[in-house]
Amino acid sequence: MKKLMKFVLFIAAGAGIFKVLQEKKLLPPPDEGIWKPFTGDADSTE
Amino acid sequence: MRLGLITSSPLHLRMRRVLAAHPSVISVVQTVDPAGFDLVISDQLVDEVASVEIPDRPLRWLATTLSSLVASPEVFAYTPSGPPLRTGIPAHFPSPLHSLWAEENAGMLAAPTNGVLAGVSVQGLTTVGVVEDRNFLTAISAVGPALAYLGNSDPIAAMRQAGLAVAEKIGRQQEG
Repeated sequence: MKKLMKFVLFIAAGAGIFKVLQEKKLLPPPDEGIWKPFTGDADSTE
Repeated sequence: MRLGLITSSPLHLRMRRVLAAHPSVISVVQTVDPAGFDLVISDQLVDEVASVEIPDRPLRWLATTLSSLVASPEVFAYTPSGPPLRTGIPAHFPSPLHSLWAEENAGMLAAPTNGVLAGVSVQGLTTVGVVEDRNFLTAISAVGPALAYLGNSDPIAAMRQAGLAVAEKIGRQQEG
């Protein structure tokens, strides 16, 4: 019974790690620069 | 001014609210008959009276219009309603949308999102963007040409006066 519990926990942890890794991979690259209210005199971002 | 609104848009109430807040507006009535109004805001131009057309796709119209604030605009992005993409071209918007995957759509980047927020951004040598409640952003963009007409100003200035908050992306501070 204890072995079965350990096995289930191992599978669940593995699935969780896989999901986190997959979501990370699915996210687009983060934005560079900081957004501020428009004043009309922003620096170039490129 | 007494305004008549002729539209099949489900956002007509939001559009009326935005228009009614303009200082030169006495009343806004949703109607099917353009007669008797000082200005008619309509899905299609009306011949008999002064009229302003509602953009067919308000968020795309806003992206084009926002480009007036950008030096050498190149990348236009907006967020149609829909399930987010899992890959594609990265599109960047102000917080809290940040970065989303987008696909090319008629010369613009379309980055679908399911939430209540919608965004538009234009990138060139400088970058500007907006993120607002989707209904508000769509409604204020839909009446953007009318606000410009009422204020005798450019559409972005008129929409900012009506409550549209525009953000600009600030690059790194130059050293020295």
